[in-house]
Amino acid sequence: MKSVSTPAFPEPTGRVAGPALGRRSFLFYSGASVALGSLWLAGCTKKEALTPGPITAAPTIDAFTPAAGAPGTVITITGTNFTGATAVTLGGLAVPYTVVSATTITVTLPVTAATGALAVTTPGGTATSSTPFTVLPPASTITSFSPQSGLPGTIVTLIGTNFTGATRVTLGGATTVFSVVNATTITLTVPATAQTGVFVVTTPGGTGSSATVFTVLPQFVNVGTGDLGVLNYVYALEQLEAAFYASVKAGSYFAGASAAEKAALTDIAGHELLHREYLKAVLGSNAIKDLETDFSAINFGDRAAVLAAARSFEDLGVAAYNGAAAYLTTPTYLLVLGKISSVEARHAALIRDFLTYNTFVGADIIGATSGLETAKTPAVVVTAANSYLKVGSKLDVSGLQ
Amino acid sequence: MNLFNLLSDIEAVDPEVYARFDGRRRVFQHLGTVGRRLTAAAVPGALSALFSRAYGQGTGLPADVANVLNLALQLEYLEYSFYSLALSSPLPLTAEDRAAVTLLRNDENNHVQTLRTVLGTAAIAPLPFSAFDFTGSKGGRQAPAFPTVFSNPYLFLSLAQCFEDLGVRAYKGALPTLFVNKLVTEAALSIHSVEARHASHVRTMRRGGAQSLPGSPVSAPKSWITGSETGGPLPNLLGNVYFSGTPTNLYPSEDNTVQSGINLLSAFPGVATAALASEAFDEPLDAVSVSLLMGYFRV
Repeated sequence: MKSVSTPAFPEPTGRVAGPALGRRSFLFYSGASVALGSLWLAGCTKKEALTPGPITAAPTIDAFTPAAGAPGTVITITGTNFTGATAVTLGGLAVPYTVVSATTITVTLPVTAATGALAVTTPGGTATSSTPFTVLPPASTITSFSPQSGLPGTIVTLIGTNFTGATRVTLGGATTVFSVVNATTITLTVPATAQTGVFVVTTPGGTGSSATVFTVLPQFVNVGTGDLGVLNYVYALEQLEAAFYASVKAGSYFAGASAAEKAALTDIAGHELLHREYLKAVLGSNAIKDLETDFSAINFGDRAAVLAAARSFEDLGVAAYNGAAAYLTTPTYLLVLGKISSVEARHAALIRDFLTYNTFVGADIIGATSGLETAKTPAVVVTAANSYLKVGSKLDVSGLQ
Repeated sequence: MNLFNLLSDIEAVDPEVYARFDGRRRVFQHLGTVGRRLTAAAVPGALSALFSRAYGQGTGLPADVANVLNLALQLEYLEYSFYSLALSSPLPLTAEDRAAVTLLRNDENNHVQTLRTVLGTAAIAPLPFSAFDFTGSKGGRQAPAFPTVFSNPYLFLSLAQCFEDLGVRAYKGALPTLFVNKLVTEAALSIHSVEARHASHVRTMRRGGAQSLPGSPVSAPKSWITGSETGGPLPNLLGNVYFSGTPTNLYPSEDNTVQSGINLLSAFPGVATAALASEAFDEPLDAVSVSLLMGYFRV
């Protein structure tokens, strides 16, 4: 960093600096912007001290670092003849400083600072930086955020300070899409790749982090492995069915349904509820969470739509139970699957008969020459089931082998 | 029997069937060169050989597995014979009901063929229609219990319901034995659910169709089993279709409301009633009880 030294006193050009230091220096002042560093005269010797008496050499500023910073930033100014400095200013305003040595002064940027040239005044004169120090807005702080946890896609509001000009907001290191609402509010979307972690807001003034972590909730519910994994898998399906029939019973089709359909659907809803509660009890502390369903694609006011969905759920349930046995490692729960699956098949047959009489069996579900009903792997079943489960409740059956 | 159709049938329920052979290409090379020249009569044997390679079955089946599957095979023969004889009898059935009975018969026939294939050389000799007497007269050696079985549609459907519900219980009871072979277990479950669909529909037929309300469980039952239904439609002879087997703790009556040691009625008050708790779970039946019940209809 170049600087221009202004002598403290009117002095003739070419005045020779006095022997203030062990090393005699010769300072050349031109009154213009001159690269003084290049004007140190090598080989100056004692004999060149032409004028006697103590004369304070004018300071020079060679450089300062950093070139920009927010209040609180410590600026290191390097130059010469800083000893005895009486003032350091930034843009004409005094700033607190420390003379570390004759060649180094540190300045702590006050909150009132504004962009401008740095100047160091000593009894020997004032040196002013030829380039300005840029005062940046203070680093942001995050004082709170809401909610504290959520799925990818969740909108989170950050509350804090100095958000203006934010260039980046990360969560657990992952870049987010965000919007600076005002200096104290940022909204952002939890990205799909985010991991649980702190928020970091980057502004020109620096970075600010949240003191606590945001917990990114998993999109999928892992049913686990082994026999408990299989039980959790069918427990998930029973949760789905129970929720479906609860929605059916709350819908307008059901309210006006025929007595036989109403009676059957009421029974089925009760069976599924019992299946769900029973499996939950068997699993105990190993049970997966309560799943959140999404039946927005089903028109619960339309008979054909409701019964078609019921047929899909029941046929899927039977195929799932038929295929689940192969994933059991012990026969302990085999009978459990069998006791429930035949009831699901009874449901499926009646629902199909409601839709079209005598379709209790059909080529879509039973091999035309084998007489075997479809058995579906957990992976195939959850592909269908997940379309009715909300993000965060979708099933991960990768643990079932 | 169309071998290619059967293979695609199997593929529909077992997408890995070709991997169980030597891969799809080799299967079709094999079938294309050999199978095409096989006479229709020879094909089942070839298929059985394929199953043996794919599933490790045939003579390799453990004896208890073969016994259980042969019991199921007898039950399938019984059902197939029952529906076949009904369709060729003067039984007054509506066109709709006749169509349903035809569907039932076709499924049972397919089950017979599939079980024979899985059993391979371990299968019992085929049972002809003449092996059964559905009047219960044991081929005229005793007074018939159901003399009007093929003239009274209500009696016919009552027996059909018993056979289908018995089939559901029999396959369920067989599952623990079959578990040593998961493919056979899956096949059994995949027949078991078809039997349950049949049972559901026969019950629907008995109460007068899907839009008829259930009434007394012995005359107009629900499509699922409520309690023990006091032994079902034919309690005097076939009550054991719905009652407990032996031992009782493993093969409880259909009115059972305790599952895995959990008393559903006390564990889930407000959710479980005795009817719902019994309906929501079907119960297994032991092989001896199944045999005894089938015995009423063997000559």
